[in-house]
Amino acid sequence: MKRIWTLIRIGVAVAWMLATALLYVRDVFKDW
Amino acid sequence: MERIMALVLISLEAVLCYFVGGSALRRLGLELRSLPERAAIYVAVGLGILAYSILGIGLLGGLNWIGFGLLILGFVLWAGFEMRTRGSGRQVKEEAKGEEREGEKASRFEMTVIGMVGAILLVLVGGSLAPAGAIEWDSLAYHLAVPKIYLADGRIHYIPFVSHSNFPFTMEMLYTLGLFLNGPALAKLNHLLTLVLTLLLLWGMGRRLWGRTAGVVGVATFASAPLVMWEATSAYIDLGYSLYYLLAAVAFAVWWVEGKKGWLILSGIACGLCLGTKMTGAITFGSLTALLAYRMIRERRPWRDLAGFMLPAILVASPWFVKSQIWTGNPTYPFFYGLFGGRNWDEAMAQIYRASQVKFGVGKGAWDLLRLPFDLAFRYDAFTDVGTSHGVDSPGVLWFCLLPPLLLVRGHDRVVKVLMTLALLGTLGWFFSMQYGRYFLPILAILSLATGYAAQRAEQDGALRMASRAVVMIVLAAGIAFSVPFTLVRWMVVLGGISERNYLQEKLPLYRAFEYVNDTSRPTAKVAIFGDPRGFYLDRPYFWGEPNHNMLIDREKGSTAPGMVSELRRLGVSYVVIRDGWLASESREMEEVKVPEFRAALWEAVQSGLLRRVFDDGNAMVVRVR
Repeated sequence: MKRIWTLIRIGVAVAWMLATALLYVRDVFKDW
Repeated sequence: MERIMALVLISLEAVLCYFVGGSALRRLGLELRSLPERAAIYVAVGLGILAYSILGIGLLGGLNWIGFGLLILGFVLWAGFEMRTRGSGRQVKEEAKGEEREGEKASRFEMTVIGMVGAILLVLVGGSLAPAGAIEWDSLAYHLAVPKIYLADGRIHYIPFVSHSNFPFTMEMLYTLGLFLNGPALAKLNHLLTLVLTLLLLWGMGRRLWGRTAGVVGVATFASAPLVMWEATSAYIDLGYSLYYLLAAVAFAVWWVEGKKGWLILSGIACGLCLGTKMTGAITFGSLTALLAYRMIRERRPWRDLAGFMLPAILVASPWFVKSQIWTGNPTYPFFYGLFGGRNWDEAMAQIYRASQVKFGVGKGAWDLLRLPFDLAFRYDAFTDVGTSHGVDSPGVLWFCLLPPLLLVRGHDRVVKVLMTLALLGTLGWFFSMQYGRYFLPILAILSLATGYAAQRAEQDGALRMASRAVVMIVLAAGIAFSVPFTLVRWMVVLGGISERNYLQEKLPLYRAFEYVNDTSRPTAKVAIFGDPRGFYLDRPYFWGEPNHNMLIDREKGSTAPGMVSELRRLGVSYVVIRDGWLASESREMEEVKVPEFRAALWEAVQSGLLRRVFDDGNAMVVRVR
């Protein structure tokens, strides 16, 4: 159970990091 | 040649400040462990000493070769003495080598991040070396313009037409020296230097507190923000403000955990310099004092700890507020007019100024506060008046990528808790006062340090490490991609592809009119300018004529054409420079101080021949007062 919880947290963190970074890059260059 | 000289001079200035600052701080016993820590802290304090010395000689009327010569000589002797005591620069090098040996070898990730940040800094140098153009409104209106007036008059004095000249001016003192020794390039490089010092502080302290990844990711977070890049190429002051804010916060956090009093005193000194750089430094002072008082009460600690922080902070900040009190009757002039009053200012002007400061942002409700991180990361245009596209107002995103995942884990370091509390208090202060993007930069600096901590924690897991390293690389690459086109035209000016004159003529609507006045009038001819406050390139004594800036022109008299002409004569004005767009505007804004009436009076005076138009290039006109 603990292991699953750890995996979920890592998954959420990784998804958050990548999604926000990519969204940002798209946003900053949207007018170019 | 002048630009190469500027680079040489800023390097010398940094070296002198390193030794002077180091000497001044020696008694605090800080035990700084690496060269980045020492360089950032010593040079930051050394620059403060330099700025206050310039204030001193300026108030004594010594802004000339004798005054500056003595000042530089004093600094060289002080630095020389310190070098001898420390066993010269060789010891510094050896210390640095020893530290490298002690620590583990830099990883490829670290080297890549440092290389990429180095590339960004190198690109930004072009923006600093180029003359201040259209995106530097405040530099041309006062950050550089007021120091130029001080230099022309040989002293620091009350300037009745520009209320901003009563702000705390620590950074502008360095710009005064830069303008005197070299020109705008050296002045602007001082601001870039404060960015380099902020990055060194993030690097050194991140590494000291949590590890090597923390150091470089803190650096990457701050350096990859387009807002930081834009500021670094200007002669604004927000990066100096951020440097001292960060230093105050991190020194405070280290004291909180390690308990060595030297760090608390350093925090006080940095907080004083922060207040001496920008009046919103009151937020720093307020939040640090509140946290300190909380600890005093909770842990029943001796109250002298509070004095150890407050005394240096108040002492260092006070010259600016005392000066303002003496010259204007209001220590925070022109703010808090209702409380303190103040010379050459009134309630109507205070209201206009207040409105201009609070028009930015997203509202002050609970929901606005809750979604603020998202808005800062993705709706940054709301926090500025520039109306930019191209993302220039973005505070970057690495803090937004890496900090929220920390909520998923427990057992955080105590220093990072103190830092996050300070960032939160600072954000609340910012949120409820002026939600202006660049005023957020010091909080971004604190968040950057905490972001380093988050990255260091992510190193513990393979997937997290890969993801965090990947986003750092992606965002840094985007930062480089942003910095190149952002500075391209200015690089062309620096490298001679575009002439400086053409660049300024194209960027600044009043530039040709200023050239006309500079070329045709006698050196003492007095000029009034209307419709654009950016007077830096005018080489004659001048003042802003619009009634929302000052009360030099009587509001009643200035509202009619004959009255306006007689007021201009009374003030000894020979030329008036008016921005055409301002004169043609039909806006009724600022009616309460009679701006529309002034506009109509000037228009009528020009049309009826009371004022003779001698130049008009479609952007601005010059009229003669006879």
